[in-house]
Amino acid sequence: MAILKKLSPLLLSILLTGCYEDFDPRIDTTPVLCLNSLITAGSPIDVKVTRSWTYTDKNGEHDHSVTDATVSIYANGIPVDSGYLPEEGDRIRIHAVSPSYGEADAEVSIPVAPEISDIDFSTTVTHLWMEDYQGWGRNADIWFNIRISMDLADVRETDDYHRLTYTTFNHQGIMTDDEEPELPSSGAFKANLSGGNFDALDPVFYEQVDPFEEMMYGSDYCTFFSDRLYNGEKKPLFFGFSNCFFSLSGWHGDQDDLECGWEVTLYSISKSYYDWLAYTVQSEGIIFNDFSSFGMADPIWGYSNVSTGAGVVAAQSSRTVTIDIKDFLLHTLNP
Amino acid sequence: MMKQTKRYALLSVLITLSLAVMAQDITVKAKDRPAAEVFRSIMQQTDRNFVYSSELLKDMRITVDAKKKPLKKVLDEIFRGTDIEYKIKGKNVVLKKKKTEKPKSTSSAQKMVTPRLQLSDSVRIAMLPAVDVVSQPENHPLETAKLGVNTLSGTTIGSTPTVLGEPDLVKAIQILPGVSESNAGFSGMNVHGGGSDENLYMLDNIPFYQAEHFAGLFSPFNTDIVKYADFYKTSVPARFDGRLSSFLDVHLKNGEQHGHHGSGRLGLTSGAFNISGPIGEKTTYLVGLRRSWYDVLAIPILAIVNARNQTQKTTLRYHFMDFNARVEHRFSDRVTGFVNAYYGDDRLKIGDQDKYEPEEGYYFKEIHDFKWGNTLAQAGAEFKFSDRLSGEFSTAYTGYFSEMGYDTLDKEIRPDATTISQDKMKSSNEINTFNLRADFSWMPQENSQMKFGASYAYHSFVPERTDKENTFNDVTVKSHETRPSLGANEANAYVEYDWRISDRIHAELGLHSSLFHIEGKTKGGISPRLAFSYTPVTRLAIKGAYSRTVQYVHRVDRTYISLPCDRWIPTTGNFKPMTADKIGIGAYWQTEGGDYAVTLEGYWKSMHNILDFRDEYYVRPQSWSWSERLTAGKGTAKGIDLMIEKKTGKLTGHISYSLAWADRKFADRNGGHKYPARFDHRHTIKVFANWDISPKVSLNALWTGHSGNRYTLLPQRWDAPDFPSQGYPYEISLKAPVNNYQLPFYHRLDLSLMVKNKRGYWTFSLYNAYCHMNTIAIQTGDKYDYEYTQVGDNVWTVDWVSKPVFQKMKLIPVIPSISYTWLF
Repeated sequence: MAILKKLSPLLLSILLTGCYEDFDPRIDTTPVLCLNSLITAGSPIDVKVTRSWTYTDKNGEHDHSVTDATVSIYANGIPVDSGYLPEEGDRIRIHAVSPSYGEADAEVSIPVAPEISDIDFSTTVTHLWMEDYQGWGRNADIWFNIRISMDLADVRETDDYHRLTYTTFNHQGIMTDDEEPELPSSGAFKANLSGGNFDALDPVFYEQVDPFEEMMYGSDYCTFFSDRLYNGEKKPLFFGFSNCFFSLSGWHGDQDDLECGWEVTLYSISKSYYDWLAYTVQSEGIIFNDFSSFGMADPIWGYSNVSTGAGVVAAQSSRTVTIDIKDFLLHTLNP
Repeated sequence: MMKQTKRYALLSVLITLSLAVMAQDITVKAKDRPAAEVFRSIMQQTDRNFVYSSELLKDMRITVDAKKKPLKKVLDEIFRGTDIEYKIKGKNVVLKKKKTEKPKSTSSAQKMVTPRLQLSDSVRIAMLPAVDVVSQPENHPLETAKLGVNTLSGTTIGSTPTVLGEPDLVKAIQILPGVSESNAGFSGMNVHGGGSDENLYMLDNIPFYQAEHFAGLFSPFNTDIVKYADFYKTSVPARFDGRLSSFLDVHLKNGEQHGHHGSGRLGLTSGAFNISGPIGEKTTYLVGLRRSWYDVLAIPILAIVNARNQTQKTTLRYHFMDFNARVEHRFSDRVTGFVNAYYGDDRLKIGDQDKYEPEEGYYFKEIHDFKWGNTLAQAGAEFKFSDRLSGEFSTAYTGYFSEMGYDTLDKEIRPDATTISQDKMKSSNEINTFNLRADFSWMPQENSQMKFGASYAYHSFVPERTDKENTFNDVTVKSHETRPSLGANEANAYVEYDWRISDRIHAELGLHSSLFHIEGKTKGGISPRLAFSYTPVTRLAIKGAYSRTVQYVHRVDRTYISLPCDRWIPTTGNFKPMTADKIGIGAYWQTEGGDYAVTLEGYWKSMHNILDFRDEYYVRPQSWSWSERLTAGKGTAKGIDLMIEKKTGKLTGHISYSLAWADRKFADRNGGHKYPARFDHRHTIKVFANWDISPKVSLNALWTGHSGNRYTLLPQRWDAPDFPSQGYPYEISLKAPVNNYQLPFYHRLDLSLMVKNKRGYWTFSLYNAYCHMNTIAIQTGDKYDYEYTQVGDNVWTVDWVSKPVFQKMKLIPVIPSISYTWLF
């Protein structure tokens, strides 16, 4: 819980003694082009071109599209068309020109996908309930923790940045947050894995965590990181999930029904993507949010690698590994 | 019988004192010399202080020829025929105007110009609660070659308007021209365009790192025990170095030799108790304790809050405190030993917890604990080797510490099992400095004085140390993260020479050299100092000064207020020591009798290798090296300070005006373009008045007005990309030139009324008396209003809509306060 909850009466008291006065700062607000693009190796390049707007421009809040822009894409210095599929190592430059809003330019290199090896995991059952019903099969609830390690190769000569994502799957396929697999009606066979809480066991997940922010906001780990802590060395990456829950009902012993686990995707991301992610985390902290609002710290602007200062052109490539816990479940259900 | 015993005892003390005074033979030879210079010679030989009102000796010149004569005889000679009388009280020679005697004609042995004295002078001395006018004759503008130097007595500090009833030394300095407060109402300061970490605060020559309490609202000096403070902003004596902009050396009072005396002060939010006295015949002590009681005030409020909340108990405790102690022992007339100690901290503890642990269900507890401050200890001895040569040897420790911690406990209690989850974290940061120094003062001739010395310091910087302990049921995972601590060796040597070349020309030359060894590299600095004054006519001094200063440590703070997450870091890696070259010229003129004085000072300062955060530094993790978050650059500051003072009478004070420019240029900030500093105040006006309404009542007023701070206003927004990200951005601020907007003119009036009685005095204060809400920041917000749309003939729709607007954020209204100081 954030300490701010308790400090809020104090902050409120400051606010109550203060006052606000609307005004027009009369400052230059010429709009500029904004380019946003996340380029993924093997996928077509999609560029979103908009424009900046003055905060007080009410119309700008709703419509900041640009209709007269021409966008050119260059791969390794050569113009390419919109169907071009970029590859790892490509240097992609995006150039946009608009008669109304001027020019914008950004360049990014597509990082090489990470090399992952020696994937290992261990599980610990924290709570188990099992019951067999004559003719109806076995019902079970398993609470467990899982610890995963994988080796990540790193090249000393380059600054590398990564992002980790994960999702669970069962015998019916990938499970997403908003789309759980359709389960049979009551009484029939059901198997479900609840992925639990991500455990950021490795120090790399904390490099963006500021102790002061952690103290004040209770801010936690980040799932993106750089290679600064292990540059040029093989990195055993540790993470896990705790309070995982596997629920089973009406199981008659078919091993394929227990096919479930996690799909972990590790991305290599461009520096611009890393910096953008870092900005999104830091800008919500107490220093750059609350203190800045009270005039006690400098306000900060958004990270951008576009020449106009508006937009982010980023790139990524990925490897996905599967953590299959079928054997663990089998062993637990048939001790 | 009792009365007789007392009388004998008193007589014995007086005889002993007289004998002691008689026993000291001194040699003084002066022909039409300024009184201050003669007293300085006597101070050198006797180690006694001269205590007098600054108005008392204006324009006084002395001719005296005494060879190995007792002090008393010499003083009798000096003051014979004047309307000044003296009394020797312990280590002090107190001068004041005779009440009835009229000046007699001057004898042939001495010629002097007797100053014109105001009745208020003697009244003020009589009213003073303690020794409060101080002998610092060398800093009088007409007596010194130095420029931009001020000595503030305890009385001056105590007579400035207070915030929350707490007199503050740094706020008293903020009244001076060329000094601006870093934040309205706070004690940080920017001196002649310098950063707030470029001021060296010292307690008896030992530096402080953390010079602020309560996020910077108060400075760490207990003003009740401050004897005087020397503040140098242009001419810097060669014995000081290590900061670019200013040096503040605070001196504590000497221990009382006759009886135990002190004071106690009760304010709305803090209090102080101070006592000093003798321990035996040769030893004195001074103890001061100051503490805020916000935590005590919060007790009843929290009791009500907690009584109304059936389930949770809230904890909120904050206090700051500082403790000073000084013991001085006179081993002989030539040797005095002393021990100083200081401890000050701020402590904030905040959290809440469930009141009861249920038989089944959830239990929660969370505590955050912050603690930060300074520790300082010093021991030394002063030796008088001869009438002309003295020295001081001392060893000291000064340290800064900061600790942040939290402890959260979650329990889920079920009939069959209990799940416990507990997270603890403690993060600390330290600097420890051990110092050895030797300082000497030598007077080769009556018209010259040389000071020289050397010091060695070992610094240990511990930038970050974090311990975490995560427990889940019976499994505990501990981690310890630390950045390697950095050790640094620093050596300093200096020599300064104060030379009165003729009656009209006075020069002070100095050289300070330093070496700073860290990470296998040695960095050095040579800091020449020069100051001269030319007196074409009596009461007018024309001055010039040059000083170079070198700074090896830098405070990294992401906010404008003092927080426990602020870090002092040494100059490492490719960064070079910060340096500043400053040239000043000025003039000082006072009317006959010294009723009025005018000071004019122009300066130009060039700062090199100064550090600041680079553009978008916030995307570089804190765990990375500082060099990746900081950038080196340069800054310039220039301006003119004009001050007109009224120094005597019932109404005293000054009016000052400053015209100033301050800018910065860094390779990696603001795209490499020059930009104005945040405190680039083009115009600053300060009016300070002290009106002695009656012998018992005085009123102080301070009006401050200056051009608004510079502010980085980000007027445009752009669409956040829709990439997967960890935060939730929507509209992103577009970069704009740093400090591109100037806030409106800032002004406020502070008032302080002091009412004395037999036992002490009351102080009533109003901060921002006319409640002008100054703009401190620009925010973005929404303004709600009805919007009418015509949809047909005489048919309108009405919508309640919001419109984005820029808003000036205005803070700090009038703040009244009251305190009572009891003298004993």
